[in-house]
Amino acid sequence: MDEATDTPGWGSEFKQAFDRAVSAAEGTPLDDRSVRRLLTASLLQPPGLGEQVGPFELVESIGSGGFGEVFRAVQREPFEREVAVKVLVGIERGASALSRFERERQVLVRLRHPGIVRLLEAGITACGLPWFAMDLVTGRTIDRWADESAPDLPTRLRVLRDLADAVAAAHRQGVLHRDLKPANVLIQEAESGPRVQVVDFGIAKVLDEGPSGEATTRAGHVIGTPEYMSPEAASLEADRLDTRSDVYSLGLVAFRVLAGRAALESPPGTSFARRLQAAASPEIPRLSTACRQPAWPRRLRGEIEWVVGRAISVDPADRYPSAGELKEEFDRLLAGEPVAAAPPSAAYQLRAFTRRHKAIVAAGAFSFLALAAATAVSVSFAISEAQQRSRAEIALEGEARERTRAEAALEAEAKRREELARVAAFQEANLTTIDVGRLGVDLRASMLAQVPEGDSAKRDALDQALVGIDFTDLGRQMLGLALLSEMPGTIRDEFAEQPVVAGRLLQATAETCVALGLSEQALVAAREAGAIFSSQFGREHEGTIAAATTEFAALQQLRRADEMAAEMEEWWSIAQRVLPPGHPVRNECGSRYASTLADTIEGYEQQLTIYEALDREADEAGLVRDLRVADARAGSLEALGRFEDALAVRQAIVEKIETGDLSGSNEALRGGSARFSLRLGHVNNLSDLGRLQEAIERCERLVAEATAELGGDHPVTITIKADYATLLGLAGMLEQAAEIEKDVLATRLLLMGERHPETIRAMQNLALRNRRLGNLAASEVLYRDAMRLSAEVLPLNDPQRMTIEVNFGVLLQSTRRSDEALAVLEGVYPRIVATQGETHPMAVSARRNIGAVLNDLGRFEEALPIFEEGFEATERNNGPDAPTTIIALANLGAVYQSVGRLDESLATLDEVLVRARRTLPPTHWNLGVFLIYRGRTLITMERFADAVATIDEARALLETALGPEHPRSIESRRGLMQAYEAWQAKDPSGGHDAAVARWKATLPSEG
Amino acid sequence: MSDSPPTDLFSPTPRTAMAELLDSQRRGEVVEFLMKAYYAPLAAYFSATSYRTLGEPRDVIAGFFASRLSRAEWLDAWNASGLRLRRWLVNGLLFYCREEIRRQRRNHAEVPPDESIPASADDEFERLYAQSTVRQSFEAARLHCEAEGYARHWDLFVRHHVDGRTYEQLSAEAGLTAGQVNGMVRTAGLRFRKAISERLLRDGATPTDVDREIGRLLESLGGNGR
Repeated sequence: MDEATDTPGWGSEFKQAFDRAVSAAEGTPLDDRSVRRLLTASLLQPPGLGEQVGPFELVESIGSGGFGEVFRAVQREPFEREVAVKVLVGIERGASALSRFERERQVLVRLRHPGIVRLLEAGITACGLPWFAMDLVTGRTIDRWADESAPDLPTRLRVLRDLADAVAAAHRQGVLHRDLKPANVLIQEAESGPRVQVVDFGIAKVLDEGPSGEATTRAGHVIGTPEYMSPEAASLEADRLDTRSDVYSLGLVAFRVLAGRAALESPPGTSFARRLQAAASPEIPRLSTACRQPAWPRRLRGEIEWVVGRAISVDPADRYPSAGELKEEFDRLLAGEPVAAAPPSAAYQLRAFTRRHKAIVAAGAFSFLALAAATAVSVSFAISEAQQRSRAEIALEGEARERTRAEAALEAEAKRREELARVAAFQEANLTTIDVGRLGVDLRASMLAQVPEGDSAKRDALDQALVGIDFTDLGRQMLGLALLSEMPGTIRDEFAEQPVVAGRLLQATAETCVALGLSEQALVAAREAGAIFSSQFGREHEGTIAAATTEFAALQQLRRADEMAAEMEEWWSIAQRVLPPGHPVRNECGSRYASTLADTIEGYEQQLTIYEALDREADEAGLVRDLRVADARAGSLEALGRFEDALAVRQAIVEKIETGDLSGSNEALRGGSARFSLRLGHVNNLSDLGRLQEAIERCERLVAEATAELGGDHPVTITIKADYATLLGLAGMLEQAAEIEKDVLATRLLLMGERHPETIRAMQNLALRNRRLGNLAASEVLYRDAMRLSAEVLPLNDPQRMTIEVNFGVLLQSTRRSDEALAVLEGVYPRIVATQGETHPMAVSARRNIGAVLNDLGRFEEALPIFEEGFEATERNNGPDAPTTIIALANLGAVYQSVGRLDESLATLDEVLVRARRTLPPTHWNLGVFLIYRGRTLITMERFADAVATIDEARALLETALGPEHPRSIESRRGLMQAYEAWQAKDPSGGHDAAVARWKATLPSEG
Repeated sequence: MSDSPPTDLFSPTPRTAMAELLDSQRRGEVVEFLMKAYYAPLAAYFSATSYRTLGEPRDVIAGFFASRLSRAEWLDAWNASGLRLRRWLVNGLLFYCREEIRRQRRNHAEVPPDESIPASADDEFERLYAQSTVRQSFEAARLHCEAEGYARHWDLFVRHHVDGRTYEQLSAEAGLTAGQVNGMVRTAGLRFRKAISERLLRDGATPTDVDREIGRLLESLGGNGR
């Protein structure tokens, strides 16, 4: 001992320190119980920073709760990574607990889902604290995300759907969460939008389960947060906890996210026991009432509120059986489909709605009968379903087994959901199959049928009085007034609490109105549908995109497309981003956007790119191509002069239709008139390519089929007839064509009135036919009417109006009023160039006609470049054998003759005849015209014998085709006279005087 | 005893730092720390062996500390041994006692037989070591809490863990919510945990061993850890 005290430097300092150590040791000791408690308390604290847990070094505490602490931790070997380590406290320890934990760990490690934070490793600290290493997720808790980012309603619903999906995935693997609350749901902001990450899966079970699997919950150590606990969990009935307990917590999380506040809120200072008590017997306000977002209660009311309400039903049997079913409900909400959670009264509301429709329909009479009958079927269906349910319920009354009752409830829900979907689909289907053309025809017939049979005078008078009334429009108006104008209000009233169903029906109404030409009503319904979809789901949703597309279609009909044309590019961009390739709404949106592209070569090329992309997408997605998109694509190809390509596309369309191979998005074509329109496009395509005979044969068949199926007065049948007449005209059968065109015009006037664009078009066609038939006076009357009406009805730069002006100019030219003709043509040409571009076929045609007039006026040098350009453009646009190309080439040959370039003229006209004989019937009157041109060139070349032979061939042909009194026939005889006159002048001894006199005698006196 | 919180003597590597500190100006602090931590358990251990006839425990332990802690190389040797410091100290005490016997024999004094050490001595040593460690940690944590303004937290910690008051009782008594009480108790508890960890680390435990060491201490108290 002395040795120690003698150690240098260890004297008094050592003694004093030692005395203090002894005093401390001899002071009041902590009793063993206290020491044990304190040691246990120290064990109940997770390890500190810098300490090692398994292979991880704890770097930073990033959160703590009543049952553990979460650290950011790093693993150094074998590779460096950052993880989150959660160390649990308050757990039972001992061998059996460890083995339970190990079993649970194995389950959790296998749990894999994009929305569940991965458990990487787990273990038990030396003193028995379980720890879990998970992916380190940076993000905000879902309540903070909802409060701070203020996402829109659809985004919140999508996040809740993803959350339910993640929980459902765990349920499928037999893992309950048991502590779902906002703190355990993290939201990461990704480029694709918010990403859900659920943490702490299954950890509550590890914490909670006692040695034999029973709950060891106890006051102060209850697993979970009372505000997000199911009543059964709060009642400490651990044996009742199943997937539905998680569903309840999900419902409360959804409530928090949607309302901006918790469903259960306890005042500060409320004891845990009281909070548990409140959770066990919850009194939860309605979501829409509790909502803190001022504009949202109306949007939450109804379907969203029902879904959340069902999830948080106090009785587990009333909840969704699993998170998967809740996820499906969110899917339905997002897709705008009826939800299963509709309250029982909803079916009644639907039935009331259909009954009301029935009443409206009945008041509308005639064509609505089909709708009424179908509605009655729908009502009957709904009632029958209700009766079946009722019977089932009675039958089940005697059965005590809860399982059976639960199954029955599930079945009833499925039926209710199916009923909602079917009734809504039925209404949509009815709306979209209304045929306003049929309606107009039937309306007129039914009015005439009101006159007693014997009273023919009165009947004739009424028939006469009805002439000029647009019955199609009248039918449309009545339909609009009687049904469709009421529809939005009715839908609003009846589906106030089902905004998504209301949106769908409004959209169907809007589409129907567009199809019927009820553009104003369409606009109202589409905008309302758009507002609903947008508020429920945001802009990036199928419904919103569809509504915007329909709104644009209505504006196009109202010729107000420019109000929204720029916006369509954005909608198309959204549609491409949001909707899968081949989706009908994506197709429609793309087609509509394409239609906004300028009606120029560049515009057509852009259109074509879009249409081709849509077709390609359908192919890649393994879907059937949308035939309407294909038709639009063919239209673009035609506009670009790619007739062969267009024909190939249309050929495929026709094959589909004629073989009845209609599926996917084309199913809608099956019962409607649109398939006739598509086939007509094919016919016109054949004609454009010079396959006139084939076109005529097909069109004749089409007229017969449409007449049989749609009726002879149906607007589509009339359109087919009009095109048939055009084909006959092209084939030189002018009289037959004119007869049909007269019939078409009469029907148009009868059913649509004179101010309808289609009636004006019929007028224009007949005017053209009359001009070609030589009935120039009749042609001029019709053209002047068409000019007047189009000026009243159509905008200044409307293509149809400008076409009429060009043709009127040509008529004036035909009647040798060249100055007047030049004024008309030079007036319209700049407008065509400004709106269509100078390479547009109409611009090319107008310029060619200006050239012809200049030619007539003797301004050959001015005319020649116009004719050269005109021919090149026409050949480029339409191909070498197209009738318009051949005419352009013939005009060029004639001008060469006028300017004295005779060899070029003859060569050109010979080429014209080769092409014409290749493509036109041998008796076509155009051949006669071309022969006259050739004859004139031969006269100028002083090849009189050839000239006479050529012009005489023309005369024979024209007199056969058009009759001897036709101006062109007369023109041919005049040509013969002139040939002989020139020959006589050149060779006075040739004795051609007699021939001159003979042919002069065949000419009209004024000629 | 000073009321100021103990400075962090031994970071970052307690084993080597201990030896180095003995050669430094802070040698006195280190020695006092070691004596406070190990005096009582060593005295108890000594009393449980046949060497107890060598003298009063207080004197023997004082002699032991004086002979060993005056030499930095003795702690260097501990550092190389890989043993816990308390085990190194126990071994050192046994050697010291044998040295004492040999020295007394040379002086023909009555000496106890050099016999095996009963297991009860080890048990008692561990029990007292746990006691000592907890008591020192308790005091260190109290000082830390007071210095950080967490005196109330410490009070709640003691009343909960030592006096056995439930959160709800404390909540009612303190006018706080149970959650607040829980949080405050945890705050103080973390400091207590830290204090215990520091002592175990100074004894030679690695960070990953701390929980196991606490488990052993609990076992030494006859507890089951629950």
